[in-house]
Amino acid sequence: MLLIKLAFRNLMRNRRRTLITSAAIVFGMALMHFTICMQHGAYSAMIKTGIGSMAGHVVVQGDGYEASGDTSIVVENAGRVAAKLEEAVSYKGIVLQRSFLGGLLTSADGSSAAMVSAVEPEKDREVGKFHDYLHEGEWLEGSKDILLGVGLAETLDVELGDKLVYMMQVDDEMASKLFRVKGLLRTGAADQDGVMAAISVEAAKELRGGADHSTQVAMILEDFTQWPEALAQGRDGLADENVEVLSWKEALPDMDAFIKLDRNAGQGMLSIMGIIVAMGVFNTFLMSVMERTREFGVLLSIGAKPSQIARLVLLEGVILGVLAIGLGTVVGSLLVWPAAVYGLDFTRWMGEAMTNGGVVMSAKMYCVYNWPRMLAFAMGGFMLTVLASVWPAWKVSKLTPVEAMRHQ
Amino acid sequence: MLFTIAWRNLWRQKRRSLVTSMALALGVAFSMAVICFNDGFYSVMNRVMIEQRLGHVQMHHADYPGRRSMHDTLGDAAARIEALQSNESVGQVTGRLRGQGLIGGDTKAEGGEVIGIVPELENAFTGLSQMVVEGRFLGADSAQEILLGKILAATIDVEVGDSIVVLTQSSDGSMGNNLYTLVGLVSTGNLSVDRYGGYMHLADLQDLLVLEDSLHEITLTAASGQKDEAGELAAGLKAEDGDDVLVRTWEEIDPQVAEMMKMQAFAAGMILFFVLGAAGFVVLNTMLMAVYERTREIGVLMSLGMRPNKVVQLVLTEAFCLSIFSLVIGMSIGGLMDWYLVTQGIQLMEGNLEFMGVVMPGRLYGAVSKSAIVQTVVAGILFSLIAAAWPSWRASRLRPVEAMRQD
Repeated sequence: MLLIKLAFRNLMRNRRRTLITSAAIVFGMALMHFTICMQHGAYSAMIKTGIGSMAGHVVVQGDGYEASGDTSIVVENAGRVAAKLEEAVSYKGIVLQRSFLGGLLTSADGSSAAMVSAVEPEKDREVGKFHDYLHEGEWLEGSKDILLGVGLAETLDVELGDKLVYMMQVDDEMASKLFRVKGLLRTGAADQDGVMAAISVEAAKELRGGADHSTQVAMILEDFTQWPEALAQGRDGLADENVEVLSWKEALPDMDAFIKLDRNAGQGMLSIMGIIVAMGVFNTFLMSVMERTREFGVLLSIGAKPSQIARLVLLEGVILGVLAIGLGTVVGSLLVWPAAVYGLDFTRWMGEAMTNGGVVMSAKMYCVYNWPRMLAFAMGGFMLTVLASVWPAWKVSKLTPVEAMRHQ
Repeated sequence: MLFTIAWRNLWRQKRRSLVTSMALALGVAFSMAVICFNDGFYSVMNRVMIEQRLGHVQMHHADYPGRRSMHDTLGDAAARIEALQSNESVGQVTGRLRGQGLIGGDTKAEGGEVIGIVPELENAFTGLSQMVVEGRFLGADSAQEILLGKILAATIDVEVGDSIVVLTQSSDGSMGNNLYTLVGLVSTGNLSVDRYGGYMHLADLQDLLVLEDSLHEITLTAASGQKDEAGELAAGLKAEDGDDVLVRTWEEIDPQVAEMMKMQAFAAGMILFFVLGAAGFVVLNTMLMAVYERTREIGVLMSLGMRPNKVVQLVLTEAFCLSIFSLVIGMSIGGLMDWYLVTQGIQLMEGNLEFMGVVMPGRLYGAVSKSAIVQTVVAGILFSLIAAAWPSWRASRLRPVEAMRQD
């Protein structure tokens, strides 16, 4: 207790220096928390979009589809597989079918290649992402309805209610079907809005000659965290089908790679900043120890043990660490708060949205608190601070009373 | 004189000055490496978005950009291109015709876009022949040849030498189709081309679409090769052409890309600000300590007639010397890191990464520019001086008598 009191007083003896050192730590911590929460927010949004538009927490696809991207590989008897998946997984969630098709859309005025996603209208309205993108008109109902990206509609020069023909190749044969434009989709990312279109799964099955085939059967769980168990159950339940059962990470490899890369880059930057701040802390401790050499000499000569003095210096590091890191965490969390509630708008620099790793990401980002990660990084910062006081403490413990007292 | 004193003062506390300058040097080296990486990233963006796709200035039919209808063409294609080639303020010129259609092999087809080009011109402009990863580039004359994006070729399961069917709506409303020989596969880095695109000789596509001597877009660079001069070039061309031709700079055509390109400088600034800002705190603390422990000494100097503003200068000079010393070390380390990034690159991931429609190679190479180095040097010195401002001001406010009385 006495040691703590002493350490605290020592820190307060040179208030300005302690304050500046703390300010550096607080600055670093606040920036760190902000970066962590911003990344967490961006990744959460990306994952939600990726899962809502082209995957699920558990994804069932025809065997070999993920590796080859071959659109002719499908889940055969998709209805049966979906029912089996629903039965196999004991967690709450929605099982839906999707198909991803290429092909050509032709209107009276022009034609354009398109990336067509076939969805189950009712289920997708609940858990999917396309419904969020509905910009004009109405949501899919029947198998004659098609939704077009706003850019695609412009290229084809069509409006709501207009007819167009969709052509694609199925098993060496050309299949075509007449659709009516029911609504327009808008993600904000020009490259997506220029090629995306959505139809119902029924329509896709009609195009495929009536066979009950879909590109994927996906399960979107109510509670995201249950995915590993759900995946294992899905794999067991569908072992006898000719399918691959993937996690959301495996089904969205580009997105997963992007997130990993971005996270590592952020972590690297934060680590370097941490080291720079720690060097400053180290400098401060070293100075405060050196200028007290005489004082330590006196303490030693009246009977203080070297280890006690070393503990005193370490304790100063611990106290500074706790206070500065604590304050930095508070400041950082407060800084994050408006960005979590009102969001950060990067629209000016990035346009409304962009595609990263194949997933549309809005340029309006919301920070999301990631307490476990923040806590881990705060612990790391604390360790660095204490570490910076280790060498000065060791130096002090090597002092001999006579020499120390002679020191100017 | 001031420099000698400042330099000596710094080394009175060797260890402290060394640790401080190491912190600053680390910040400088790290900033250099990150900026080098950042510039490498943007040079890929620039290559794909500007050198290949947008050029500096593009000309379209006035109605084409909004509707992208195949009927909105620029006529007299050959004459137009010839005229532009002889224009002195124009560097490279290439004309493109775009046709949307189904591109198929024996068994599979995919919707895509075929771009009609004059092979020589397009190659001189974008270096397209260098992007052929299998087979060969288009011949100079039209011979029913086609190049396909590498991913597209895999999707429709075709190989070099196969016959390709292109089915499309022609300008007269009929559905046209024709057979072409696949002579090569391209990997351009532009995802929409690699995944859904193909190139053929302009004359072949004009035949297929029944659009004789027409183009959808003409893409130009400024004679100087500087994209900053796009505005001037566009203004000059606008004056020459009538209202039916829309002349726009790359920034006007794709403002999103333009804003994205501005992020390059913004990102570099942020890195310098945060990393060197952290180092600035270290310098601040060091200089403050240096001033306080020399209170008596400064008192003596002042009582001997040293002016307060000289004291400010002395402290600032110390900070300046410290920053120069740190910069020398930091830039040597940073230079080595840059050299490695530029020559060896860094393997970010196994495959490629898509970003805003641009394929980033898994192994990304850095890029070094003079302006980036200058920025780093200026920022390093500036942050040290800012950090030393307050300590130097404190020092100058000391009163000789009181200062000397302090122990």
